[in-house]
Amino acid sequence: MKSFVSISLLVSISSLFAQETRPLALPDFLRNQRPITEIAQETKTDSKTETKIDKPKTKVEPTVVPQAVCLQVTRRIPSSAQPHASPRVVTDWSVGLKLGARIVTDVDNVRGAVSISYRSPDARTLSPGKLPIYGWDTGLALIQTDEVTTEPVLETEGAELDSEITVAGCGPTSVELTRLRVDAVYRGKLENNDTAEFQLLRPSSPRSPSALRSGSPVFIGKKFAGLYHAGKSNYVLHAYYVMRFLEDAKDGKYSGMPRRSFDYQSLQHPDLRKFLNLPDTLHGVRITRTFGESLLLPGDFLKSLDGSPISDEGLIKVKGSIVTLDDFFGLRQAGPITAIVDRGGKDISLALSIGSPEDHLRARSTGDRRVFFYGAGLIFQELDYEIIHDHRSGADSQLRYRYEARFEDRLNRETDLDVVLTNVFPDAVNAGADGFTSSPLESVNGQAIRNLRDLRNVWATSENQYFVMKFRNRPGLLVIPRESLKVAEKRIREKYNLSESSLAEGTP
Amino acid sequence: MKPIVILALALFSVQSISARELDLFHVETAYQAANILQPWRKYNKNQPVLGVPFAGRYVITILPYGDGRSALVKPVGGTRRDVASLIKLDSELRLAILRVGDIKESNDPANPLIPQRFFGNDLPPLFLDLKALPLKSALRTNGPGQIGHTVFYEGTGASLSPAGNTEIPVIRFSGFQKNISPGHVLTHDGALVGLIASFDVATGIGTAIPAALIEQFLAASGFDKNNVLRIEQPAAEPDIFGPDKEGTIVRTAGFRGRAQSEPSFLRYQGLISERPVIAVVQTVFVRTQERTLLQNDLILDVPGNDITARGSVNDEYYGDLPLSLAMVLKNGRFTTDSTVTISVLRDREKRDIRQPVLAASESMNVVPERFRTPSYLITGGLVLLELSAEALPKMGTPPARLAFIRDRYLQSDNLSGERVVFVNEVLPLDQNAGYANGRRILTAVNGIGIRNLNHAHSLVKDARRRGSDVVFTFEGNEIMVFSAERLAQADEMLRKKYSIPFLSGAPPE
Repeated sequence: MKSFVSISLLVSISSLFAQETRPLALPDFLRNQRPITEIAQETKTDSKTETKIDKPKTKVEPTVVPQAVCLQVTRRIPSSAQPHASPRVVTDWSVGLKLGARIVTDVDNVRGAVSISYRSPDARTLSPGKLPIYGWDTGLALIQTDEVTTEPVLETEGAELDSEITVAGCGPTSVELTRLRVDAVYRGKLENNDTAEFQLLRPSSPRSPSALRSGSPVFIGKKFAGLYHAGKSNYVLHAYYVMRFLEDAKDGKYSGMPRRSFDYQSLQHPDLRKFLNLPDTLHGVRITRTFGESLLLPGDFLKSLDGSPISDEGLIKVKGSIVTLDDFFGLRQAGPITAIVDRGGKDISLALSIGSPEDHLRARSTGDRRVFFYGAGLIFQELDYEIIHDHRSGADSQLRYRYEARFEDRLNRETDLDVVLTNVFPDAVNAGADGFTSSPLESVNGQAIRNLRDLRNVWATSENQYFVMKFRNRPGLLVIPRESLKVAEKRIREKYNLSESSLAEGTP
Repeated sequence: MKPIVILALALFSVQSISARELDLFHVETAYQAANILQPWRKYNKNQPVLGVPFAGRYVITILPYGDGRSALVKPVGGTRRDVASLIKLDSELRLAILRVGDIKESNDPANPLIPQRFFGNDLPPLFLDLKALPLKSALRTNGPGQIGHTVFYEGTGASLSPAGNTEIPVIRFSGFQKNISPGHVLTHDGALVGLIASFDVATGIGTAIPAALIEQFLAASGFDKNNVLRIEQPAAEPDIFGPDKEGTIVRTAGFRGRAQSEPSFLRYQGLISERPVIAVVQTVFVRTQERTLLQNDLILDVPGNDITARGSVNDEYYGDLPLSLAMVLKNGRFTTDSTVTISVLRDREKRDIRQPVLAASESMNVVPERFRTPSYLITGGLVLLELSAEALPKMGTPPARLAFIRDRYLQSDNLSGERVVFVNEVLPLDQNAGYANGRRILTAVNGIGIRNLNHAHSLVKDARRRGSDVVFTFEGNEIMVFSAERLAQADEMLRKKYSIPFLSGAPPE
């Protein structure tokens, strides 16, 4: 259903913008040439109050090229296909943008990191970095160093179609600069991330693509334009998101990008307005459903957010630019927001608490091991990005639906995280389990399973003769006899050459 | 290895020489195919198949698509083409009987009809003793030029019927050959083993409708064992067949099952014997009173069918078959009985039930594999369709919700006559400006929950006739409202702007 909504929103929004003289590619503030910190601070202030901009007391000249640093990261890469197997260990060189004592880089560079060190491109010695703060929904990560320096203020520039950009990479002895052109400005998902769509730049193809690493800072002239990502698709994440992430993580923890927690429909159509008996003075959008804990109710008419009126098309003005409600939330920091809602013909003011939904599972994990539960030759894992994208279970339509529409269709009320039977080591004790692979577990011995811990607890405490497993939307039952379990598990370990410790390692 | 190959080739040559040559006809029918997601966009397609002449003026063939009207036939090796009219069509097997020309009306010497000699031979003898046919026996796929290809018999099995609504017994064959298409004839020593229903060139595996079912179809169509039509006048033909009112010999017990043989499961269910049982996975019923089997029932026994360790049944005619199929077959043909007795375990209590045996049809499934004639309704620019499995891949990346719904209904109780109606797109018009495009599931019209597209259509028509607003409610609580006047304007605009001739089409029967 989410895709229904997102498709429809995109189309309607595109058509609305098409009627405007304003270009769709980037809202004005994403092309803003002022220091980005000013904008970030503005977004934190209430629009009703006067905008205050705390300018830095000492002006620091923006440093550009030297800010690219070389990173050496050793990572453990677990496998969702064989979660019990030892993770692969790799050590890679990559690039980051150093801002005083902090280094921001692409999250893919440090996913599952067990050690990080860095050096300037012209230096030979490596210095240790601390394990990162993961910006799981923005595709970014932050590495803290032991240095004590002032963080420079970066001037940013929003790249546009045909802009000339320079990617600063890390060479053996110096910074390597690669000049590219922006071929497209588009809205799309980040690699390894299904949480949201971002404004991205598609650069022209470099002459030697392997030379460009993820996390390389991108500049227009001397102004910071974003971070380069090299992967299945190459793109540049706009500088605004980088600066927003840095601002969010200033206190040492990352709160995430707030997102719209409701679906809505426009109030443009005259027959709809007439049917809903709306006065001509009422403008805004109709709430059709809410996700998570929201004070909004389906049927409410949302008129304004933080004092900015919402148009019948679902657009809202922010700092002189007209943006969609998705962008409005995505550009803010988490925190309270005032909403004016028409409910039953009366205006009420609601203090909405906006935050990032708990959908870490829709981005590739940053952990260095898989969490799983093992019992009777069966492996259960939580339904997450890896299961959908890397595991054969991702082809199952029920899992895909539960992954994609978890919040929208309130499936998160049924479970904290869906527990999926992903691997079966066939044995007499689990005969018939093959028919339930890729199915979400609903209950064991009549007890609802809301997460892997529930499963572990039932497994450990049940005294029934059988473990009777019911899977969601699957006919039939899987019955495991408890009496012969220990013998069977020993037999399975020997048969499949499994070590007891590796099977216990993933225990939630 | 080499001598074996030579010996095999020699054997095939002998077989080819000894094989009786078949009279075959090219059959070409025109039909209107429709874009599944835009069914008003129809285009004409020709469907060339092969047919076998019999009984002086008839041709039997398989028509995967269309209603078989406006058929042209031409003998293989002949030059003269003639019109043929469809007299019988099995809606599930897609077996068709065409009558060629009308000899009495042909008195134009310059344009003679197909010479009678092409009908000289009757239908070849039917190969009905499949158990006498060893696996890997060489079969011929007779085609143009009478040369044909050699393929190999791979036994029998169950497969979806050509129409896609239920399982039928089929003959399997293998062999990497090109130019094999539906309607090709599979023979062994000149006897007709089956008519080819499908062939996958990539894997070299094909299926054919067995001769026993062809014989049953001929009999149900009014032909006796000597292939003489007993009923000469089309008007007197049996009611259940014919281009206007199709029917089928295919029967179904209305469920799908899965074997359960795990000892712990059987013991947990209180069963002492370790004989496998069949767990009912999905049920199909036409009327509520016919709902006898329920999902999760365990079928213990069906008289005359012993459930094997694999959970299948050793059918006396076809061998290993799923129980749900074997129980509606008798001596290789579909049963004409109206019920079958089944012994089931429900809530750990054993009971005997009489399960109805039904004629297979598209209306049995909430989400059919495919619609032969997809229905649609366009109103206010909203393109409303019913969901079929065939439509999902055409959507590119189908919405996860729709794909899940399809699979869920495939594995659950299936409410006959219910369908999933969805908006596939909103064609932009002034009259629907402000309503977002995108796929969404329609749940109600004017507050009444809809059962299928026909039902939605009748509710829309009713509201428009009364001049009242039409309110569409979708999953997710989104609504769209149109006044009757605006819908009328939208209809006019649709015809002008999009050149859509009919705003609704092919409502389900």
